Amino acid sequence: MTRRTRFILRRVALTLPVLLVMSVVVFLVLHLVPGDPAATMLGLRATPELITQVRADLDLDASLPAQYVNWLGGVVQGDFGRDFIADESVGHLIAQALPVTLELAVGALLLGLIIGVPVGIAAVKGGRTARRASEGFVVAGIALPDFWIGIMLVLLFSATLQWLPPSGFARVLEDPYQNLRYLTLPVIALGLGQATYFARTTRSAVEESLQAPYVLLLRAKGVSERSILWRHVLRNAAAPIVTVVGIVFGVLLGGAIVIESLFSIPGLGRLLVEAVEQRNYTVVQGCVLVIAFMFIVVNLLTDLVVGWLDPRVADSAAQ
Amino acid sequence: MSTVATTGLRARSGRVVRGMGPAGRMAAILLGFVLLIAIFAPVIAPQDPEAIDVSRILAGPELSHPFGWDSQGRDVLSRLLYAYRTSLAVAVGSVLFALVIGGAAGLFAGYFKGWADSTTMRIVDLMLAFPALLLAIMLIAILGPGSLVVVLAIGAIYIPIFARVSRSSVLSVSTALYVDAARCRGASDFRIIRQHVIPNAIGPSIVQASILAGVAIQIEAALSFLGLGVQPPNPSLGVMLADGRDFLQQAPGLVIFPGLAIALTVVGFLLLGDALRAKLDPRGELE
Repeated sequence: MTRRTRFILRRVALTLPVLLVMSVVVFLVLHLVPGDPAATMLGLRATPELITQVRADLDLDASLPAQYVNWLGGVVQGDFGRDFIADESVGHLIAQALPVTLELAVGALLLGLIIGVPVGIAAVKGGRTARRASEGFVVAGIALPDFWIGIMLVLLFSATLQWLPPSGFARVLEDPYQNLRYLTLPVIALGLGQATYFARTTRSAVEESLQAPYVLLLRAKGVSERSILWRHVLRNAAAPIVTVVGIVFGVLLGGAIVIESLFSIPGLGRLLVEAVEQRNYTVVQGCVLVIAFMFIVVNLLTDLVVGWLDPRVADSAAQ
Repeated sequence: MSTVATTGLRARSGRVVRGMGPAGRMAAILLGFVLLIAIFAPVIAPQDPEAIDVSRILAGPELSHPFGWDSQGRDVLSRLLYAYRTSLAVAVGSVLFALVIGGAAGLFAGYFKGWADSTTMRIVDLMLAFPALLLAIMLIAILGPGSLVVVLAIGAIYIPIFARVSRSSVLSVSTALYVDAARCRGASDFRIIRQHVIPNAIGPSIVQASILAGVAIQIEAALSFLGLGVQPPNPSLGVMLADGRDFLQQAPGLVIFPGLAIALTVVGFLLLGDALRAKLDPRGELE
């Protein structure tokens, strides 16, 4: 077995128990709620008959381990239970919301990369003004919350200039043009914040790579600075940038919650927040499970890609 | 803490403040100012933050009300001062809570090693397997929204971070010669931890605390903005942003001022963290 295969197997094996324990934690959410979860969920609509029905649907009278096994069995088959408020299957709600969140996250990730990587390179290779501007960009990006940037974008582009809608959503397959109009501001608000992470990582990775002995050799051979940067240094700086891409994508899947609520985008984050407000625990469980699952899997894939890009990582982890 | 250790810590904190450099001093002044505002909000605030004047709803600034009135006719400046107090209290409270719990867990893992280390770190890894905001929202889903729950929720995000930082510095301190020497003298584990390990290993955690306090202000604002954090009519920076978002055109100040207040505080904590890092964590044991 090669070191790389051993690394992949080891990393996958480490993820499985994490997924399992995560599922236990999410399952317990319903049971940690003070009082009877069925009564809490039904709120003012709670009648003894309805409570009995919901308790039966949730299987609450079985023993805890039996409930967990039943619940997990359903989840594995895509059955996340029932939303007792909207009277719909939670799996269906998640299936509708997930593509919306993914579209927003991918858009913000791409925008973050397109802005962040050049800003990071400018911080190392640019002139004095470029360096200052890049530092200012990073500090502002860290200090300002993304949803506040979102509000300011609405103030400028919706309220004042009236170029783009302040909130709402259209599905990309139904109306691509409106979809673009609705997603522009949220993607900018989310992407700008992420760009600062890429800028910081690119800066430190490029700085580190530039100090490597091979750069000295390339310079001695008369290779142009541009070629050194684009063909050698950036290729070597790719591993840390990919790591941050993975982290940021994972965070965006769960972290778009505030932006989705601000712009009324019907994604997973908004579904979760509304469910928490309504104490709709089956929906909370479903959303948390899906977001956490994607977060863990994205982290796993990132590690595997980094191991593939930089064999030293795989080597040291496999030893 | 023994006199020697206390004097050592005091002398070191004196050196830290004196040697923080211009950025650190600026941060200290900025945060000092912010802290004074938070503590003396009831004295400084020109109006009662809850007092409603229906004739002045969304009215613009005047000399006696420099930030104008909000959508319910309340003085924005007074609300901002009180909001600041709440947000800062939540941020500092959550960081202290996480520092104590996470720091103790890291100390336990790093000092006793073996099963103590592996058990603690597996729990820490599991906590880190959840996206940060999701962990907070899950806790709020169980306990219901409110200021105290937000402190716990942000604390829960930070506990694994402090546990890792503290474990890593405790691991390196506990192998030091003076710890061996104390052990040879027959000192108990408790005495060694109290007298040698904590004073020498706490630096990186303090640096981390400063940086995370700034981030906590943002998380509080996000949670309260979503309606899951501090509950109105209590003012917090997030509550003010949520109140103001529907009146962007009529009164943009309702969202601009709380946002700038958040940004200034975060910059202050970050600068302080950077300055402290140079002094307290020269080996870079932070996450």
